[in-house]
Amino acid sequence: MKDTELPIALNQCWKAATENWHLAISSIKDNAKLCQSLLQLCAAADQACAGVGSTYSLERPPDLQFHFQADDLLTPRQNGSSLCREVHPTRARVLPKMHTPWNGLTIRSLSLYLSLCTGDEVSPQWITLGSYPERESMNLLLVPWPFRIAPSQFDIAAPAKGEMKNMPDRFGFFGFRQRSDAGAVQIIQSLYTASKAEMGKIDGVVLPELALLEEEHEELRRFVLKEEAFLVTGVGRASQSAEEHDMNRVCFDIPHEAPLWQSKHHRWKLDESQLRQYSLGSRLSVEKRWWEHVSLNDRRLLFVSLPALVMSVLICEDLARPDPVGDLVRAVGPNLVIALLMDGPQLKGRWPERYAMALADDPGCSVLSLTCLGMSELSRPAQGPSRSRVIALWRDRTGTSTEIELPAGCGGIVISLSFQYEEEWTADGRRDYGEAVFPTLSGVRGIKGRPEWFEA
Amino acid sequence: MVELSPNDSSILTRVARYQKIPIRERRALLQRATPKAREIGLIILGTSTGQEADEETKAAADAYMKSFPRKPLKKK
Repeated sequence: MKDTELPIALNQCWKAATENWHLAISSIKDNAKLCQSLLQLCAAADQACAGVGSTYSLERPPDLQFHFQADDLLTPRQNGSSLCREVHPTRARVLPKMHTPWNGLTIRSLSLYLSLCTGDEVSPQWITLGSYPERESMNLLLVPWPFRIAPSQFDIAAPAKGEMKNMPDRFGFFGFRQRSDAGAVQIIQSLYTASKAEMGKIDGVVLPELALLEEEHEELRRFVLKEEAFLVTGVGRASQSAEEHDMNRVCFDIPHEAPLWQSKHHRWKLDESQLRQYSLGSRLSVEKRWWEHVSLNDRRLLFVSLPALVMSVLICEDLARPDPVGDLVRAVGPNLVIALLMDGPQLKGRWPERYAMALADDPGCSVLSLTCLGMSELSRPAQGPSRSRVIALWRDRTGTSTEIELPAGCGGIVISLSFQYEEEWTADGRRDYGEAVFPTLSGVRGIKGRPEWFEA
Repeated sequence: MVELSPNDSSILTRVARYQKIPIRERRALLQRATPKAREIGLIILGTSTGQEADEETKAAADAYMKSFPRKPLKKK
């Protein structure tokens, strides 16, 4: 920012690029000098942006004014966040990047610090949280709430007025109605208190998809924030009239911050095999395929930048579908991805592991999937004994998946994450000198519950 | 507890983090924040002692200053 003139070498690269504006993209590969210039420009831009988007304290200050301005650009606005000042985000956007793929070469292998995101279907929101203290490890309390789900909580949902009029008869909508009398808040508070006594500190509480009603969430967030911890939970509401959809969102609450939330991007489709798996055949006809009756209008993706790591949360199907959310997640490569599910047991070989593996391989995210005990118990195994107490799965770049089982008599599990650092390289041979952060699973401990919690 | 918007958080993070940026420049940034965030920002900058601030304002300022401890000013 101090020197407004480009260095001579970069100026020559820029000149080579501007002299070839007229060239068709398909012809660029035949012009070696131009290719070299474009790669040099890309590498220079990438290096200049080292550390952008993180909230580390600045021990070794880079170009302060430049980073000061870049952080301003990242503040979410109407069209989300982007580091571009002159390119409108509906055309393309550039976001910070946390991981460069280790396996194979892709377009994402060309940069360490910047990601190119095309398409504006999803609005990425980069949330920078400087009020959260830096740490080298983290304890997360996982509560697979609700502990019980009955088939009667699933029901046919009428389409909203004018919705999907041309939908064939073999398709329908379904809704899920949460129970409000189950004492969720008191149970989770008890588990929090017990886990804090056992572990010393709890940094965050994580609950699955559709775990809480809005009023329960409001009560629990006040408790968790007072404890100086963060809360990540699925929150839902069945539609109150034929005019509206059900609500299915993740709420992210962090001390001193306004509530953050993100709606589900993809509808769950229940087909015959799933209706049989979850014993829902008497509620929803196995002759039909049933789409979850949620609105897809609000498509935002939160990237929450805490000191030491950037975190994203996906809801169920959003983990499985490659676009449009998957493309963004792969481009940015958040250090930690939490997938909140309403699913069967989180066993190796099932779909959550497959998609977690894909994100762990490229770009290198650590992935935690969490389902509720109620849905896991509703799920009948295709063969062999039920393993419904495997309510979470951890996968990271180390190459192994870890099933996380709720021990008998326990209502929650505390997982400990340690932040490790590894070196990453670009395809053109640049490296980050070991600045890439990998949360790894370094502890699992069950937290006892009360027998009456697990009764119907 | 104070509930800061993403815009306020981003501003306060920069105010606390970029301590080598002149105070007047960081103070100017606070003009784009809500009154509550401005109050927190002035405590972070050290231009307000925060003595008259309420507890939640002090707690929020404290959280930022824990993440980015204020460096002592150099004597001229």
